[in-house]
Amino acid sequence: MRNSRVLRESLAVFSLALCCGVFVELLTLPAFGADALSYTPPPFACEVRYHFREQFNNAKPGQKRFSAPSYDREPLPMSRMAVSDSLASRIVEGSVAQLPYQFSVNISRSSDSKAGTLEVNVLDSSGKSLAGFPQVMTNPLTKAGDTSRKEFEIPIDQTLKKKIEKALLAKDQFLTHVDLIIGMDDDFLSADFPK
Amino acid sequence: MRKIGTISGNDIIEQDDGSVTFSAGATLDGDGANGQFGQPPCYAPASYHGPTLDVIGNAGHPGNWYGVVTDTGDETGTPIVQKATDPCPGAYISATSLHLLDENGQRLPASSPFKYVDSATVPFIVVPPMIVKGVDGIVLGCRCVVTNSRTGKTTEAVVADTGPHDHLGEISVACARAIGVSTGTTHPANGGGASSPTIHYQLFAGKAAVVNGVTYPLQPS
Repeated sequence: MRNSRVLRESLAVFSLALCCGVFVELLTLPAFGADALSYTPPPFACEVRYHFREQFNNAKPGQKRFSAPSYDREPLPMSRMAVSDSLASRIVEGSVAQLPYQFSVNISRSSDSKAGTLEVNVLDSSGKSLAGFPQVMTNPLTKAGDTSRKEFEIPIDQTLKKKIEKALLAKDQFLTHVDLIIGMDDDFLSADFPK
Repeated sequence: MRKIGTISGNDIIEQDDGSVTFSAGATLDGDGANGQFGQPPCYAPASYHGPTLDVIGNAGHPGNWYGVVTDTGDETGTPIVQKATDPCPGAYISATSLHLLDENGQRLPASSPFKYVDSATVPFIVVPPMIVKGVDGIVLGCRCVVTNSRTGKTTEAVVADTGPHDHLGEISVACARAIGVSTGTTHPANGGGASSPTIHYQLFAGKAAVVNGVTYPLQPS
């Protein structure tokens, strides 16, 4: 009889502990698993593109003297998730080898019905935003089609231009401009991108 | 089968049937788009009101215009601006390596927007000089089949432009759209592209391309 009562009390304590545990788990879920929020922005990736052309020194009269444009690429780190005050965000932060800049790209949403907000900032080595940044806009990106990529031109001076050309480009090639590209499509997110 | 060369780890092969094959990514080339068929031009001055396929940085700047046709025919000249009677008044004229002919089969002047292949509406590809010079048949103007392994979409295209010597895999904006390659939101040619080696290219050197009912001229280099 006494053993039975002890057993019932033990079961009650165990059940209470289990319920408390589940309750605490439910309370903390959004903080640890932002995927659980339906309005978490889809994954995106970022890369810096170094656009260039090549001069054809042996072009005959009337022939095109410069190549079609092309580019080299450097990726930024993959996006991470964050949730605070009912705002779900995906954030890319980091830098690339060829630029003395820090990039911060944030897409945030507060509900399924909203496109969310895209914030892009590029900071120099002293922590000051480059001219034209930060930029804040309604998120224009979708997973596919003509709206899966968004470009932001990155200002560079002549010294930096020469440094990049020396590091990345071959003879007779010259840098035309530098862009930050944000992409949400499957190709941009693939493991073998960029190459 | 003969290996013509390798660029960025991708082999360029001349097959026994004479076709040239390679797999690579795809960067986008807006050159040649001058509004010939009602779509946006590639480049235009700041005074132009309307979208362009590419950013002006890829065209050049005063004293060094490397991406548009100038009055002197070289980069030090002044860009030619399309007239009211041209297809896209106010826009610059950008060029492709392949030059089109008039209805009588005669050469068009460099200042004609119709001399060049329209990136916005014509699926075309860009090849490095290694391919233009490395095969027996004429490459510029030849038939090409482009396939996107990611989407399974394929299109007929023409070889219409020449790219840097160390870059393989470049297509027009129209070609990108035909095979499901993403383009940029603000400037389609600037932000788009596909990763390597998801795009398969097969060229038929010496065989004139027929794209959307138009036969393109084969142009010796």
